[in-house]
Amino acid sequence: MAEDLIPNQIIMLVTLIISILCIYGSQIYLVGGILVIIASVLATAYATNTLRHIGKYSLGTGVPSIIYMLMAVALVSYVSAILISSYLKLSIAFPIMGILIAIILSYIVSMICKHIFKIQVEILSKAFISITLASLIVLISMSCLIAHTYNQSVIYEEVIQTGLILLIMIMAVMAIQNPYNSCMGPNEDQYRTLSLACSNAFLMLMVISIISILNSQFWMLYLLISLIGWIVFFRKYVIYTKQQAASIRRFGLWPIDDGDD
Amino acid sequence: MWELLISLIIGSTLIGIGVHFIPVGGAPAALSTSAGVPTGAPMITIGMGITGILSAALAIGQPNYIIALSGAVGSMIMMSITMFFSNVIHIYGVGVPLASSNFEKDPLTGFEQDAFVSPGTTGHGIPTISYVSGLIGSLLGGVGGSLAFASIYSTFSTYLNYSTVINGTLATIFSLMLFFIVAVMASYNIGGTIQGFYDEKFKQKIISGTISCFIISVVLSLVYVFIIWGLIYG
Amino acid sequence: MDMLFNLVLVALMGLIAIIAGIFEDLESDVASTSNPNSQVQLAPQVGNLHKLFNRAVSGEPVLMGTTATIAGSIAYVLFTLNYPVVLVLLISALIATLVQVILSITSYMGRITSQALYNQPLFLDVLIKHIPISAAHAFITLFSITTLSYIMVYLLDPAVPLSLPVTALLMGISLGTIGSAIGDIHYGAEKLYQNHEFGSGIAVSNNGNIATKSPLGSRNSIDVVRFCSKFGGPISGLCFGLIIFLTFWINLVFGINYGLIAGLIIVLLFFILNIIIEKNARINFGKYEK
Repeated sequence: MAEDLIPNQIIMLVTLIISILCIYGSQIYLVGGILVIIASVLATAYATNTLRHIGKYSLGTGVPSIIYMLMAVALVSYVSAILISSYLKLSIAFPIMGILIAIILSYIVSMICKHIFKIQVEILSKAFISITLASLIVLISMSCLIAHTYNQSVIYEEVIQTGLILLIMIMAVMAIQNPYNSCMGPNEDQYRTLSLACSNAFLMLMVISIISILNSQFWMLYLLISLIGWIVFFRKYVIYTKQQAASIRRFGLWPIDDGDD
Repeated sequence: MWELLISLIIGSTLIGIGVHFIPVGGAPAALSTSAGVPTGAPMITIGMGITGILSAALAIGQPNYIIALSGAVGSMIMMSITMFFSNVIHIYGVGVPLASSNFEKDPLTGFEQDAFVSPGTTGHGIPTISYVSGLIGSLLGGVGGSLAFASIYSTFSTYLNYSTVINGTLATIFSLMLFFIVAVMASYNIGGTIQGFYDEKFKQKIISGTISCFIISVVLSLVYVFIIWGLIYG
Repeated sequence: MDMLFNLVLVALMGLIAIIAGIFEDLESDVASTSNPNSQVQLAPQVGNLHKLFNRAVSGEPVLMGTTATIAGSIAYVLFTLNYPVVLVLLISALIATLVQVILSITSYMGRITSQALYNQPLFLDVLIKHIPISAAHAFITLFSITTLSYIMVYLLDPAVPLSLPVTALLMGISLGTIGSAIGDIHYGAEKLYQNHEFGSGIAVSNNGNIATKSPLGSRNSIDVVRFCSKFGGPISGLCFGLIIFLTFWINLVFGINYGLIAGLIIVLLFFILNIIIEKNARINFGKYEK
């Protein structure tokens, strides 16, 4: 893994503050959907960047397994936050409650890994908590895009009862772990990996925009915005690839001698 | 609610123990470099559990123990067919006999192992004793997963007046999450490859595995009961 | 009559599942996914530059689960809006295939670029040649999976009591698991290492030493598909088809309670078959000489 060009703490701060504000803005007419799109892209980049740090330690099984386990933890805390806030009849508590429960649950999971499985990785708890938080934000913001509000009872009816939450979950798993998995290697680069993460997040948001056809008349607008975002970041990714590849060939064989072309 | 809590704890602990029984070879097994099922432990467990949940969903409306048993049978069918065809490819596609260097002699068939392991590898395919171990694992995992499914489903259908599809969907989501979390935790405990209960590694790992799976099951089950209590009275 | 209709449906489901299984495994071979890909990745490091399609989207189950769920969810939305069935199945599989194509392109570019240290060039002709073929395989798989889930949720009586996205997820992940547990052995242990002796496992010291040349020029992953479609793919398809068929068939024919006994008998049958082929292999192949 290459050194960080953007420090993880800055990504964390920016993501947490902006995306929580964006989620609370999701009820605004027309603009709400765009805010939620920003939140989920930021959270995906944050999770991928954390995965770059924890992924270089071998935990005993494949890297994607970290993501889908923590995504499941995030989903459990998401559902319990929905229930608490509907019990309190206070929809404003839903994202904050989710974050609190996610921190507690992922801390317990990381403690079990540390003390019972004896996995000696210093940043384990921190990384697990960060990935769970980011996954939770992706889950909440994508379901806000489908339901077009952060009101917990609407989300419960439109997203959870229909089973669409599993779509959001598995797509978030793919968007977060794919950039790390596909850019792994000795010449990995933070800019390239994160631009792929953003591009993947926009790709998944295009699918979500098509799904949101049921609840929102602006789905075309959201689809267009995601498409533009995807094109921007995909172009960036291709440019970084062209700069960093050993050589680009349209035909022929690989070089026989070392490096001479 | 107490009944739900207890069956969730038992179910998810059984899933965690079942993972340890499944012979897993990971990526090297796909090259016939090590014995076992050639994929990661969490993935094969989730795949097996999913077939169990599907056949448990087909038995909805029966008493809970019948649902749990039919889930177990579904998982066992999936596991036995997968391991059988995996062996078929090893024997007829790659041309290697089934053997593992983790034990000297197969206690069931009496086949000698070491002479049949190709040099430089630790075995290939799934020998009979590992096959039996895989069946036990799928039985435990299947019973665990579908016990969780059945108890969540019956709680929903008793207290909430949703349609069958919504109840089934919610119960599937909850029991799938159990598999996702517990199977990954158990495979962190295994750490790589294992060849079933006759393997030396199994004896070292099973105690800490059971304890950790029990702890995580208790935590998850408490959260689940809390969620379901909230769904009913919230 | 009802029973007969259901039996025909279950047989059809088994058939569709066989097709899905065959093409899923071949898709993972043409766009090298799953476990054997670790060797394609390792090859430049030990000095074997290659023109194989090295793609690492994720494990096979997660990739298959994602694309199948996307197809299933879009189909669910379009069914809610009352579109005709065939159109919905086609459109949803097409959109999911597009997602798979984009993920394949970015993954190939990413992995190869990260290996710049070993001088592995990024071949654009590999990208252009392999993408349409992997997309075609993926489309057939996704169409079959969506149709399978559609039959389970809407046509079967009694239907599976789950919603369409959930059923598609279950089918996708279990198909991916089976494809990676069965078909990949033929690709990883035999086709990648065709330059080694037949009839032995791959020693750890030979890891990464894969065949990179074919009789004419460089080997590409389309050669791999041609090889694996003779044995690895059909066997994976047979396995998935049998699992889907037997799971539904025993419940339908014997009822729930007797179905449990029938299921156990089937498990026992495969166990005995396994012992028989193990014994035969030992007699036919003999011991290794060190």
